[in-house]
Amino acid sequence: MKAQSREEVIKQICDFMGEDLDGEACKEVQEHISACPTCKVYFDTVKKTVTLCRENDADEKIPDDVNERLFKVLKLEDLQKK
Amino acid sequence: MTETLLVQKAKQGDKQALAQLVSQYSERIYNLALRILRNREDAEDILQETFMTVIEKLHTFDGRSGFFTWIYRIATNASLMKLRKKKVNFTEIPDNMDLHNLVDKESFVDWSHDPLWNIQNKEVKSLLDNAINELSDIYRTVFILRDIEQLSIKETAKILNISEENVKIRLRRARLFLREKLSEHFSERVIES
Repeated sequence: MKAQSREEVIKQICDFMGEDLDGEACKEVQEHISACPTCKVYFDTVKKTVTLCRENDADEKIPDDVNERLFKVLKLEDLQKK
Repeated sequence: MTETLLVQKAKQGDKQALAQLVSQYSERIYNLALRILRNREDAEDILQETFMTVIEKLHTFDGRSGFFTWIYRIATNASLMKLRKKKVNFTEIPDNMDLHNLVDKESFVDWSHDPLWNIQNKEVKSLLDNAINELSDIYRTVFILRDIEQLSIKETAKILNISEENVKIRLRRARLFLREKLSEHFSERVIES
């Protein structure tokens, strides 16, 4: 990466943060992250934040009673597969 | 039977096809509403409301956007309406969220590799729930659709009826806001230990 102000670099990293974190969207930014310990910590903690939120909100099985009430409200109870 | 055919049959009044569509989507819609509203009763209300709207409006569905996008849009809008009615006090994300905490800092505390921070830890779970609860509706929906549901930027933009650029901006701010929330807590612990 060419010599840039810290603000410019951070701006690019911020833009990258709106992309797929594992994607190839901005190789230059990824190269910078791997060479700059400060930005790497920032990037790693954003990534960990997303991972934790994803694990915390993992898919739940729909409760049977919720499903039964749904089919009843829709007047489809005779067609509900159990 | 393909989804297009199922939708077509349901539109013609085939209850079997309709029931199959409900079975196919009920769990996804329930989880989506639960993620946005963070409350099981509310998620059930949205689940029922979404499918009632689907039945009522199915004749207007023209297939241009795909059934998945259409039903997700209905469920997201219904969840947003409910969230707004609850009048929760969200934390305002400043417009300079992208930069304000970064420019002057020389270093950050790295808590990302600490095995203590996992969701089996009740304190972490509650911290995550509180952080998402503080996220206002426009940021919350983008974060949930894109980062939790892992939909593409394009799909997220279509569901929310906003531009892809807007999705990226909101996603970036949501991610940085949540990182700040967790960092306030985790960094202290790392420094203490």
